[in-house]
Amino acid sequence: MTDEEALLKAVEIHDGALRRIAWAYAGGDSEEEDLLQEILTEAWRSLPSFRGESTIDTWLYRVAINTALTWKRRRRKHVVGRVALDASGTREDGIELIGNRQLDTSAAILTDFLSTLNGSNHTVLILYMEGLTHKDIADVTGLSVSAVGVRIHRMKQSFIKRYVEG
Amino acid sequence: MEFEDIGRVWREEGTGTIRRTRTEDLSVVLERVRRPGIARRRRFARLTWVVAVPLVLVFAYMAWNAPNLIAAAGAVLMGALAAWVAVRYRAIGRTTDATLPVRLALQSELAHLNALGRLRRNAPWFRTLYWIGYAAFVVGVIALEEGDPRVRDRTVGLYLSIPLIVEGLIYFARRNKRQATRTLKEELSSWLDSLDEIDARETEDPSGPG
Repeated sequence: MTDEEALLKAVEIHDGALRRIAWAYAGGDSEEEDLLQEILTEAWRSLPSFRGESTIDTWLYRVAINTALTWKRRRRKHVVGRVALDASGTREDGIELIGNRQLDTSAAILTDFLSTLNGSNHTVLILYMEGLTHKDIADVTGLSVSAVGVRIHRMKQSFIKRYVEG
Repeated sequence: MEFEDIGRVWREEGTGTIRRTRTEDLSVVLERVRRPGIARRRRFARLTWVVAVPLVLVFAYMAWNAPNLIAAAGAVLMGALAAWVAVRYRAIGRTTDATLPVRLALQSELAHLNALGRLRRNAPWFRTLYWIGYAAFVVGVIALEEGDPRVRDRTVGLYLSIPLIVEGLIYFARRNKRQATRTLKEELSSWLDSLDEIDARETEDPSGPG
């Protein structure tokens, strides 16, 4: 199988993941499609540099995340309506999250949780939710495998504290 | 909802705003980006093709057709500086390599910005030499030529106004660019700091999940 065929196959397999990543970083429907095209353009343009040190799948995730981050920086968009939290965990705009009627669905809870995460945790969690192993997440982000595990563990504790025990 | 459910929610239920229906098959999108025309447009959009090469050719023409050695020397100096800046700019390379692990890509982009910053910090020297070359060219073409003094004075005024306009435009462009670059470097540094913090905390607290 040539690299082109491998990329096409990887894009088909990870179709949903690429769209979800584009949505997570674009923050708007029309821009999601723009970012998705940007990701595919970058993947195609970078394909000659693929040397097989990683699988085409993790390579594609790297391209997707890096392209999304660059794209987001160019547009200075906030990811998923991220709002800074003060020391008590309350959003700085004064809206109390726990028990809010807006958090009555799993999707709303997930959106809210994503909005509390900083850039690197946000990326790690997205890759985790896409089903990547800790090793794959480390391969994509450049972190150590153990650091990925610790970070996911800490996010889990934070999630439980906010939404399960809260 | 448990933490273990977030993957399922993310992949299956979405977050309420992800459109389920595909507007376009990804393979169609991929086919479109393969078109050679896109690659050609990108190539020719690069700064060195669009600006620097024509600029160097213009200076070479000016030097070849200069009326005297002073004007020729000025044109050669301007052309040499334009070529040098173009070569340095291309040597710095692309902004980022998207195929690298995220941390390395961020470090690469930060290094690229720092290299651009060093090039910009040397810009006053380049511009000084450039205007010296320009002054030599103007002196050679205008001051040493005989003719109606009034016409010559107006022409000299026109030639002198060009550096003032260019320096003014550069000043305002640099002011805005400097702010944007500083913000971008702060963002990149913040991202890298958070990644380093992850690794550092792992070193301090080796207890893993579970």
